[in-house]
Amino acid sequence: MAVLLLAEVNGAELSMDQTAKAVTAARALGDVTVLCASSGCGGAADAAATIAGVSKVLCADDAAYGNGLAEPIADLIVSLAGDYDHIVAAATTTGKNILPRVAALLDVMVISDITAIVSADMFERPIYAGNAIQTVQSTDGKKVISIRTTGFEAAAETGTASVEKIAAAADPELSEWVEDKVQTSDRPELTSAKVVVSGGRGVGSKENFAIIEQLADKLGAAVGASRAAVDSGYAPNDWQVGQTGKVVAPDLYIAIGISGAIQHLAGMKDSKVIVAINKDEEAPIFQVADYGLVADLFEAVPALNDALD
Amino acid sequence: MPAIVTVDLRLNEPRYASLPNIMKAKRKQMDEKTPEDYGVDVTPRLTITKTVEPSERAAGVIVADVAELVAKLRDEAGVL
Ligand SMILES: Cc1cc2nc3c(=O)[nH]c(=O)nc-3n(C[C@H](O)[C@H](O)[C@H](O)COP(=O)(O)OP(=O)(O)OC[C@H]3O[C@@H](n4cnc5c(N)ncnc54)[C@H](O)[C@@H]3O)c2cc1C
Repeated sequence: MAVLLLAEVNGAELSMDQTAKAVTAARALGDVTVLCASSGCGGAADAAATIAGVSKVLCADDAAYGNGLAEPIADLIVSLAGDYDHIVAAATTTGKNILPRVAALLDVMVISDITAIVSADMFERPIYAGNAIQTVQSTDGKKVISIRTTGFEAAAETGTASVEKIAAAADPELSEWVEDKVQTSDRPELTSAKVVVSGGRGVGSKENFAIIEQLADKLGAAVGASRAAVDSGYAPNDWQVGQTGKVVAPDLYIAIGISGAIQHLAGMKDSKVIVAINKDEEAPIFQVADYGLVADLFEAVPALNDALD
Repeated sequence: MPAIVTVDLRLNEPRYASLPNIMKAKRKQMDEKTPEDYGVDVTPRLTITKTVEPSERAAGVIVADVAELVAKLRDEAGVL
């Protein structure tokens, strides 16, 4: 079986973590070709070629792909699709934007957010906000699949695949890039960080969130938030962890002032070690926490900060 | 156009249908169509073969204070 994997490329840079995890999943399906589509993506293609298990890297370097617009990239993938049985990508905002379009153009169903591969046409995926795991079998000729990368280990960077430059497909000119407003941060990216420190409604205000950020910086961690914290304006949208936010599985997840609603757990319960700090000993977050501390966060978090010095 | 747009859930407050509009809606003509009318094949191409509960996380421990938490994270979990 031949697999085409759309690499996660931001700007001209490869997201190694997301792509290497997706490669691990893709290898279980067959021979993996990685597609890098961006503007000036030669470096990303070279990086993708070092991922163990990749047979070949296709590099489509064109201004049309520079801003990650789904329409031209989907057309490029469709133009290549004839050679592949599976078309896969990490279930990131980029993957979730492009793959449904690819599936529609190929008239197949998209199989979203898979966490395990049973066989070439059978996959596991979480449903009902992670309350159940469903196994589905596809009868489509081509399978278009998004991969929940938290379910797979990253492939090693020991490969030596060849890189082939390919021409751009005709631009459908259905969309035009206007502007990206990029939040720059020195902190690690939320979905690939080894440590995540998240704050909830209990933190109380945007100003108070500084103590969460301070702890995160001490641990070299990314900052996350519950939906209640985002809705209340304590934290920006892209920090939200959960069913309607990001799915994370770091080595250490510290939930502070978060009750542990099922929709929040859906985004973090596969973390290796979970710590909860909450003043309510009945909070459901303690049911999934490896280490729970029943305390007022305004005392516990500064104390934790000091203890880490 | 036409275009399909997805939105962030905090984009706006959805408006509620007003009573006069609900009444008006009741008198609107409703055309019933089938997917075939539009030449669309909706036969599912995915079969659900199994649905199971995810594995539970083992229950953790409640620590007494910050010092114990740091000690556990350092020595037991090895994540600090
Ligand atoms: C369709 C849908 C999708 C959703 N998607 C998401 C999602 O993606 N992510 C998400 O997070 N939620 C999501 N939610 C919302 C979810 O149901 C909860 O409402 C939300 O997670 C609650 O956030 P919270 O835990 O911060 O707030 P709360 O539930 O209000 O909990 C606050 C906690 O802080 C504690 N606390 C308060 N003060 C202190 C203090 N001084 N010291 C210590 N602890 C304190 C309280 O004891 C309490 O447990 C979704 C809901 C729906 C319906």
